[in-house]
Amino acid sequence: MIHYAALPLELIFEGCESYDPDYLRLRFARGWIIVEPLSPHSFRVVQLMSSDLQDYLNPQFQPGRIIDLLPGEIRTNR
Amino acid sequence: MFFFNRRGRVPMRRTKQPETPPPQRAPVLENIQQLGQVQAPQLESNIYALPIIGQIEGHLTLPPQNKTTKYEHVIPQLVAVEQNPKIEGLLVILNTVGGDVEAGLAIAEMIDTLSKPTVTLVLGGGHSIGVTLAVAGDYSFISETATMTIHPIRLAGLVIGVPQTYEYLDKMQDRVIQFITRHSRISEAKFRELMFSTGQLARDIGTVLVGKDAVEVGLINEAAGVGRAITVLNELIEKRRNGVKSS
Repeated sequence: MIHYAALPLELIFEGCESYDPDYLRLRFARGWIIVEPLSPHSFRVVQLMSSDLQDYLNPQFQPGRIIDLLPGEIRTNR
Repeated sequence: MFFFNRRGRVPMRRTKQPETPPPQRAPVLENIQQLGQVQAPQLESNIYALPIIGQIEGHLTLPPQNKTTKYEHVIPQLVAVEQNPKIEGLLVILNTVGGDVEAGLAIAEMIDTLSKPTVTLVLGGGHSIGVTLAVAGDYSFISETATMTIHPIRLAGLVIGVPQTYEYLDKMQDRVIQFITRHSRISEAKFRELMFSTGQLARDIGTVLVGKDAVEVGLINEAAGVGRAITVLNELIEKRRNGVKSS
């Protein structure tokens, strides 16, 4: 991998080794959403894996978006 | 459902009813229940705006102090733009410091090969690999105060072996230069001259182009803002509509 950026590389990769987030896979009708749990009910979207391309245009699935879910709505598979 | 007679509780007899579809929840309600959010009312637009901000994140997840645009989301997004019949044009808004070469080139190639009209607009900055994205559209804009930094690709410390490393970096750099010179008016010689010029950057060799400079060297088509960008995109959409109809 080659990183080509105007920022100093040491600034970009600072904390690279200690950064180890605990991701969770949430199931939804057309695929999976990989999220980072922030609290028991709120999650930050990390990645979307959907069989329907139009889902990628939906702002609710945009990486970085914080979604809230009720306990009954969470089905996970690590 | 039950009702009572003298002998006690008896299940009510089902009478045949015309089949009705199950009551549908309003989409807004569905959103609230599924994602805990209310969606803002959507205005129908035939233009899709794709902002590319921060670092372009590729094969490696960057630590959280970085703001990133993830290529694994942008690439299917672009396929969806191509596929969606309601979207007629793409506006790419760039404010990026650079990022992964492979991811940046992949997104640039995707923007370049879309059959729908694409206009790019550099706001704030479009540096390093962001330059390839800026030139990938059918027409490119830079706002007057936005900057573009052109500098050589540096070693990220992940490759061992000096001669091979230099050759590898050189090849990567060539890919970037080839793409940029093929998609803009700048010549390869001029671009290399900007890339290796000294005295402009404090910590590096290279050049910073501000707004109109990028237009003068032939990298960008025009120095203007969002209003003009949308106008040009609408013109391109109109042209394509007419072209499709007449052929």
